[in-house]
Amino acid sequence: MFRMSTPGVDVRIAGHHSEPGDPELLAWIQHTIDDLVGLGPAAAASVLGLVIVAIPLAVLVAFLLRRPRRTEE
Amino acid sequence: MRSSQLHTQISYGWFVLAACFFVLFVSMGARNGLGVFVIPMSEDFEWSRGTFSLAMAVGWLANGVSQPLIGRIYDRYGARRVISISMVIIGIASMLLAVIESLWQLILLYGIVISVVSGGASLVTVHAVLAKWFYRRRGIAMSISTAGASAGALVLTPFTAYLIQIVDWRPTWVVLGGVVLALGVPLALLLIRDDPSDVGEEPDGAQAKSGGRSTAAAAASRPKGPLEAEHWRESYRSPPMWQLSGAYFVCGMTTAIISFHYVPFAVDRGFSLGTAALAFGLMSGLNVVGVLSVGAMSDRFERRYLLSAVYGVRGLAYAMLVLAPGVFGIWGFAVIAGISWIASAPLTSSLTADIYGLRTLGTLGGMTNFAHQMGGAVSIVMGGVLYDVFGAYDVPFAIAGSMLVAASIASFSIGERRYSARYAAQPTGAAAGGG
Repeated sequence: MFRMSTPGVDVRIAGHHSEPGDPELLAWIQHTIDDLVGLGPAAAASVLGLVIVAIPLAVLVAFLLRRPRRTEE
Repeated sequence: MRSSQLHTQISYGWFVLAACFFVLFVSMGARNGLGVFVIPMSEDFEWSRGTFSLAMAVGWLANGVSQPLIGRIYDRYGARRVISISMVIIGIASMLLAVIESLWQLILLYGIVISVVSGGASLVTVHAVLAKWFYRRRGIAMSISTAGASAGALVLTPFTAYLIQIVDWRPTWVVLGGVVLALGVPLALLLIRDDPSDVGEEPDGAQAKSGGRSTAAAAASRPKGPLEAEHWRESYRSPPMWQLSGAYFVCGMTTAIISFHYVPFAVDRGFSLGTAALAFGLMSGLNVVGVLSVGAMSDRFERRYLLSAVYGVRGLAYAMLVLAPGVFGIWGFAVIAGISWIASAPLTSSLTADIYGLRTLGTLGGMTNFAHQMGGAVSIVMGGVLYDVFGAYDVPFAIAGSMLVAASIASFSIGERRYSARYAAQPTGAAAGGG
């Protein structure tokens, strides 16, 4: 039986090309962020959610700003 | 500044790139986030971690094996349709994960459906369409899109984790699926176009010399890859395809073995799980820095030198990991390997496009990715078996590191000046490119 991981931490996959991350590692990173930033889960999720929504919105605004210029030409 | 001047400074290709960035941000970021579901779902269903990892392993193989097929579908139907439909299926399948009740449903939805279909919204299809839009800036365009995947993991993974804390894992799957469907799909449909001629442009933002040409006619007028073939199989008759695929196989080997075995290795050497995780996290964070730096340089220098350097640097990191004592080896590896971690992807894609052209680029990209995933599968098993034989990771890591020397030499010896379109001819659009 070959060894895939340490005992108790059985899923050892982290992302190079989108592979799922190690759950223990992800949990540790989350606790560290919590300690550093001091936001609650709801506030942190809201901030990250805003980042996720802001990217396509910014692209869309830039695209719409470009369109009238095209017709002006 | 006059508005018409502003217009000429922003080519449509940058909007395609922005959409591709976000496609990888949500699709690969969402797939990467499965890790945070492991603990709550395992607890709910009383699955062992090993049981859960079965779905991940199936997903790994399904993704690798299906890439050439997805690439072939891309070559036939184009990026806009393939990426959009893939995103729709990823979104729906993610939502369905909220109502699963047994392991086979997880394996079906994640291991098969999402893992196969995510190949349609992956580096393969995104790099292939960007190769059509960018010629002089192909390297940086592909690198920026690749950074989207890393950024997606950095943002979506904690977002997912916090949501699970707030609303549990089932509604979180619905939200993730909703993000893909409500944000990713509309942006892809609105902005991604298969070819610059669809909006009256040439690659790099140059205006088309004559309007009204069909996509096929416009594409036919552009310079081909010096080794461009009617059928993708013919590409394997020339050395560069073997050199690129072989080196990418080693890339898969050397990243997957670390993804699976780095933290246990560090713990074996006496480090705490927190220190090992922090070092691994640092390595992941340096991905973005490395891929963007290499991408910018790759448009100025021969890409083979950079690809060779990426593998060489990673080999150096492996040597440090095995030979350097204690903390120096762990942190040195994290920093040096982090920079090279995903930088190989845009370099491999751009070299493939430069040499073999755009006709079958989706399939060829799928084949190189297949080699990458198979290398990963081999190394994961090799790492486990050799650990059991020798009782330490030194031997499997030394083997992986040695393979990087071969990958570096193979990349260095690619006849880029002889075979690449960058050196063979100047494209119509690139000469006048505005960008």
